[in-house]
Amino acid sequence: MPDQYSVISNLNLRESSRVTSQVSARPVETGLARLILQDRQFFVLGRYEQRIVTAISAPSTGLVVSGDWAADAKRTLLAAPLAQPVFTEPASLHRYRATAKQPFYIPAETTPSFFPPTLEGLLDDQRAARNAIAVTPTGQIGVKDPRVLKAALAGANALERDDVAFLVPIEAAFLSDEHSLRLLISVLNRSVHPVLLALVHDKNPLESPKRLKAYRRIFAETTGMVIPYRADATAFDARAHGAAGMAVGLIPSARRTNPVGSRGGPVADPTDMAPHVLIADLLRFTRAKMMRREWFVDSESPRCFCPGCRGAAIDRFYESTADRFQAHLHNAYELQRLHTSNLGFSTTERHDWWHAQAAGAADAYPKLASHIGRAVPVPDDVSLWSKACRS
Amino acid sequence: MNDDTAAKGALLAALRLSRGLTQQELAAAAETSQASVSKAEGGKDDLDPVRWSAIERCLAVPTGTFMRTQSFAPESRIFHRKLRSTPQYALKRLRAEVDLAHLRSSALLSTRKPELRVSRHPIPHDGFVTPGEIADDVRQELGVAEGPIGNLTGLLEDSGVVVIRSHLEAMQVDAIAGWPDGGTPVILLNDHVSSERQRFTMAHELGHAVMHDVSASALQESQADAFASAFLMPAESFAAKWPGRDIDALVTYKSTWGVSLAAAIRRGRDLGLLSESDYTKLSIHMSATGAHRRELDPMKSESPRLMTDAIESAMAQGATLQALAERALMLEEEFVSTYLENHA
Repeated sequence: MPDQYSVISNLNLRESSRVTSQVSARPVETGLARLILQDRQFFVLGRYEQRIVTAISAPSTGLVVSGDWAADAKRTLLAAPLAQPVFTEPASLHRYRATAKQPFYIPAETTPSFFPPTLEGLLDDQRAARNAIAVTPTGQIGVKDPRVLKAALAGANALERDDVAFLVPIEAAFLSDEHSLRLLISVLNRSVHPVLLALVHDKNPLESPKRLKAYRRIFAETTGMVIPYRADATAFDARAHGAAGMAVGLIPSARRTNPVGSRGGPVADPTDMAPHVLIADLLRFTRAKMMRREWFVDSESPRCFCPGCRGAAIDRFYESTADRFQAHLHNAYELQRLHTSNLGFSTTERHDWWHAQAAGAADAYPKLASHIGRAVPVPDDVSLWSKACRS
Repeated sequence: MNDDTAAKGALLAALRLSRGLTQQELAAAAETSQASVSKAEGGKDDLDPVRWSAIERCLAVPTGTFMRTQSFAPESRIFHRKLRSTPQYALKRLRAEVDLAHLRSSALLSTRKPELRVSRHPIPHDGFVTPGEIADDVRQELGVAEGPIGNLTGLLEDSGVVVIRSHLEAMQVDAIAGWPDGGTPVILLNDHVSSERQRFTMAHELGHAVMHDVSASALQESQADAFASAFLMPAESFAAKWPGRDIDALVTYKSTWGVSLAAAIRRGRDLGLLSESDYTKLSIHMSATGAHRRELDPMKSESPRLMTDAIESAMAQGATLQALAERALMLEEEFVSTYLENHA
């Protein structure tokens, strides 16, 4: 592959020679959660990104629909002949705080009946609604009371079925304390189901090197199937350290989970709707407006050669619906390319591949700085990823 | 080996170490040879009464201490909270201090020993049970109400733990704890550190005593810290009135809980009440202002009462100071300064 961008050149970004050996499409009707999640890159779709589904067509991908409109969206998606699996994200992820007594959100009966709602029943309903897998409606799990996490584990492990994934949405503070982290790893190792691990925080859940290292440890030290859920580029570091697959977001709100009742931390300019764009060479999502106003005011912006951009400038996206769609499309293509470029790799090969990507990204920052004539510090995450660490 | 000789030897070694003397130094002071001190400590050889008397004078213990000794073979699990890297010779001295503390507390508390209400909660290796959960269990076991613990020393003493303030700074530790099987747990506290740190240290040692068999690894030290943190600042009630990141409000809050500012903000971070960046900013502020070395709004120190009360009670019933000091293997002056002065 030629250098992808005209300015920022990351020579390590090369297609895998094994792309042709991608995992083949699997019949999703089986509902076998482990098979469906293994090696697959799911995209968590918000309300406005569903149209990019045509771009997410690789056999190694899948779709997660979320939000109030999820049921309608899934019906629309499934009306098309999709090869990849689709499942719906439980609303409990955003609306319910788990307790030790009730770790899962099970709606109260509106009228008494012989068959009150049960966890099993809710999962059956999910499957009956043509979800490729069922997902436990786990509420957000706080760090203060370890009994909540254990209650969720016990409830999930009591499910004798293989079409279910155990959703574990934890407060990011689990990553700040060694003993909470050890508890989490121990719980994940006891899960009989594949785990979707989501981080709850109103800003960046991996805000410090300490948390980044702790997050990496989860995937390195767990022995079962753990999938980073609603993640950003960190999902690739997780994968390089043992994650079986990933579920990533194309927009910022789909790359983390806000605490119940929160709409996210303060943003510099709430009216700025310009999309965040993945610059794969830098392994970084950056707002297009920031690129235009701060990086490429007086210098040529890089061009992107993904199937969506076809050589156009990387900072060309404005606030319009059409531009935002194009940016989502670009993000999807780039995330997909990164994912498929290491499919079929052994753990060691994937680790080395990721290290090379990250080292290349760390090198690309000074090049960018030199091009635009101002400092662009290497972010903590890229810096950590670029350091060789074989666990 | 004769049992009496072995007991005398073990006691000799403990007393010598607690005085910070080498065998050579003791031998020189007692005008005997290092070899004979060594053999006596090993229980291989008994000394004649004149030499024992000379040694008693050098060690500042009552005359006849060794002749009256029939048994001294304590086997405690020992824990200590290091200030810096603790040298090997200090570790031996620490064990000697704890062994003597056990002997003295057994001798002086014979009739007033509180019922031991603390039980062991071994912590699993895989992290499935957190130190915080064990701290919650122990609080429940001891009947501690939600919220701050007013007098931690009193709580521990009422629960059957002996707390003694001691001059431990020479051994570079904040505290030592020992818990013989079936015996009374003893915590020796360095009286040269702040009251907040003493409280945290007591809780730390309690954590070791209930969770661990030995104190060795960094993980165990970290577990004992986490236990102490959760024991003094239980998650739910500590989080309920968390004041945010304002330093003045935090100083007031840490005083309410009887912990250091550093311990409070660390607990805040671990419970997700403070972001990583706010925690870092506060830590830098503390470091820049010296607040990490000198506690802001320091609290009044807690005084152990258990031993003092037992001694005063014995004296009220007719026991003489000399007799009680003899039981504690101390001369009267040291006995008074250890147990009766500054314990109001």
